[in-house]
Amino acid sequence: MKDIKKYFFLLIALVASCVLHAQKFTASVNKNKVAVGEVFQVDFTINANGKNFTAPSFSDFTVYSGPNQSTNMQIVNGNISQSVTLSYYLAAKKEGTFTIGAASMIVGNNTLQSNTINIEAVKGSGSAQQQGQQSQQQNNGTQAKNNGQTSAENLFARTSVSKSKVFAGEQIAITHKVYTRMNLKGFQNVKFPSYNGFWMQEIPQKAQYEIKTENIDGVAYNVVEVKKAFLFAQRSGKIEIEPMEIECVVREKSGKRNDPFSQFFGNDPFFNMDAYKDAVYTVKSNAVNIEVVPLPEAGKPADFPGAVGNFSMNATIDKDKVKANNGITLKITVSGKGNLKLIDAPKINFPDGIESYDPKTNENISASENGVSGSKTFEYLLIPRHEGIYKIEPWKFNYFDIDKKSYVSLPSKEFTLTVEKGEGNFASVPVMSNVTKEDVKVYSNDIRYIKTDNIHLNKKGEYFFGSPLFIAGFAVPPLLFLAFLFLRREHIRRNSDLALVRKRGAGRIAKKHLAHAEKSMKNNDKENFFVNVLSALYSYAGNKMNIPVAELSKEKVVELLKGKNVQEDAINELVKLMDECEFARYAPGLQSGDLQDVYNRAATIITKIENSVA
Amino acid sequence: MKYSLNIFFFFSFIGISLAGTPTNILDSANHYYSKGNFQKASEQYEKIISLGYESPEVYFNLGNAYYKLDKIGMSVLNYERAKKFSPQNEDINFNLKLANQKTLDKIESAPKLFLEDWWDNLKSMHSEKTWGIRSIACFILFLFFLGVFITTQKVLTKQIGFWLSIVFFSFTLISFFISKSRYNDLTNQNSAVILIPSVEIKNSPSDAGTKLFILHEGTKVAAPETNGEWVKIELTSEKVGWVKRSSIEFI
Repeated sequence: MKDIKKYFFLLIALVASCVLHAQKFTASVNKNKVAVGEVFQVDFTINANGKNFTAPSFSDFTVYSGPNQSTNMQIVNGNISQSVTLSYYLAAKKEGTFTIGAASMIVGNNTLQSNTINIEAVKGSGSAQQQGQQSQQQNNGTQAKNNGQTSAENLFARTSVSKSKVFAGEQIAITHKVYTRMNLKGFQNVKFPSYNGFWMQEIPQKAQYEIKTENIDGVAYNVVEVKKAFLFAQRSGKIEIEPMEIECVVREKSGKRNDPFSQFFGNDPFFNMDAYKDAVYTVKSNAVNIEVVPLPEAGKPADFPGAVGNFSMNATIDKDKVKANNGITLKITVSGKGNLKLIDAPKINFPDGIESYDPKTNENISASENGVSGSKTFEYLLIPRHEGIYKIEPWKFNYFDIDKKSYVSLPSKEFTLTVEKGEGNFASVPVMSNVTKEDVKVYSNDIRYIKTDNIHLNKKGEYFFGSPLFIAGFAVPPLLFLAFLFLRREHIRRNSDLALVRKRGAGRIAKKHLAHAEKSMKNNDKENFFVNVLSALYSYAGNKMNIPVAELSKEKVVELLKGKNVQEDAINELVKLMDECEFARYAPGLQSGDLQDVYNRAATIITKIENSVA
Repeated sequence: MKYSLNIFFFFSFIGISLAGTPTNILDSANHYYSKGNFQKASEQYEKIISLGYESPEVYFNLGNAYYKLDKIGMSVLNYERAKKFSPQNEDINFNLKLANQKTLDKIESAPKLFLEDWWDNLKSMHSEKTWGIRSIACFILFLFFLGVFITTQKVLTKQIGFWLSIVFFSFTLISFFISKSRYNDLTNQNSAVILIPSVEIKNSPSDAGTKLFILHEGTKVAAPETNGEWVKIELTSEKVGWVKRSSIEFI
């Protein structure tokens, strides 16, 4: 009851004051000219009791905090003057001149409008943030005059890295911390840098921020580690990590809590204890520059998958005996510490006849205080298409050992696959099955290799055509040929001369033999007679037909005489006479008259043949 | 004094015979090539040629070395030289084709007539030497059958001898002219390869001549005429001009 009375009194007093004083509703800013992003303060002050405060639109600004209400009441010589201030912390989003519109409030039956304020936002300079922070701290000062609590030393953020000069792919630890000597309640709108150019692996945050104490220049700070992560540079050069931006919610004393509204419901306005309110400060950490050195080219393997750290490799195959067209899984696990995420699959040359697909990659990567470790698995699905025994050549997994600063090559073992004939293989399918023959794959088109065998070096300018040997080849054979022809003609000529002589002398020689025969006949020497007659006949035939003595025989004589068109009966007569003479030579008993007869016949035949063979 | 001089010559002769025989150089050149040292290999092949020896294989290998060194002009030149000796060699033609793909100028060769094509194919079946030997062999056979024809008495043998001698006489003539033609191809230097990256072709044999067109390294041209420092070149009947002797090399 007493309370109600009290408030009633107050209400009366307020109403009275409203009547007594002109009601003023003003807007004011601590700065008219600000940098983009710089925080400034807008106060709407009313020296009356109002309700339904409607703030203007702050679409051109970022509202960092507000509305924060503060009430001021003075009783001077019984005059009660009271003012209520609603303040906002704003920052311009972009350059330009912006107007903070009028706010409105209802006091009694009137609607009051505040004045409008023009804000000129200029391009933020490099130190704009600092200015903002400073101005904010000034704001804090104005806002919480009595506390004097905040300053740059009391709340700031820092980004630190473990190393500022690294190899590409080397691990860097990065820590974002907030240092404070204020009563930090929490964070909101944390903007971490984008870490462009890095792969980032974060150490998982604990559910509750841990507050530690750190001493900087003899001053103890509460430190909150907002984020700790490991970075791996993906390219070389100078890379900047932008600052972290974080809004810190700080609980601070707001002086006497004289909220006019709460006074109706709350505690005793005059003896109120210190009130607290949450203020939001935006702090920005420093930017960090990292110099990334490329990995050394010396000794860099051709198939370097980009792994940097310390790794081991293990490869397994799920089965080494398989039917054609059934799959095999080759699993390669790379485990260790380093930039696992950035490792490419090792290049493996699978034998022809085995189809391989792009590997399936599984990662199991975690980060702890010690660094990033884990494993990465590449699973190759292989499908052998034809039976046979295949060897998967050992491949190498190469990485850069960051401790030794050199490349390390881990060889794999060799796998042998036995592929059996698959079920329902092509053999059982009719020929029309759509087995397509494969074109021979051409990987590259290069010149054919040099020739190394059977090279005959010739003297330059030595040609066979036109050489002496060549000319001799054409000159010597005709000469030989001509010589042959000449000799042959000579030979024929000489031979033919001899025959002519014999032929001519045949009759004469026959007569000589016959003369001997006649002599023998007179001496009655039968034996010599027949010998001489035979000699006459044979020598005549031999000479006449030019038969060599060795070849002289009755048959030869007959044959040649026939060839010379001698009458048949003359030949017969000759043969008969020869037979008779040969017979008579060994069979004595013929009369002398017979001898005369034989002699006459021989002479007749010789004459006959002499006439017929010219 | 005289003795020491003789000894000096003796040793220098041994030195040459050990290190400098063309076969040894060839082996070392092939070795360098197989090891990928194409610069050294090309120098060794060139040394063989400078010693006065040649073979299609050496030109081919040298062309390969230059190809690997990316000296396309020299590569084409040596392949063309190898081709002069073995026009039908598939490896030479294959590599020459690859080297020509790297040249810039697009030259369309006129299509060959059937008879010309046939003659070229016949010609390139064997070397000048083989055709020459063949010609002499046919000539000897011709004489033999002519002899048979002259000396025999038998009618059938005489007829066979007559016809075979005519056949072999024609073979002799054909082989002789093929050999002569191959010999001319080898000895006539009437085509050349451009060796510098790009060269202006002038309309007259002087620096003041008008620029007609530009040819690039590795292009093969017919070079029918030489006038002092200048060589007349022909691409087709329409593209004729003069070029400095130093920018080309005769095949």
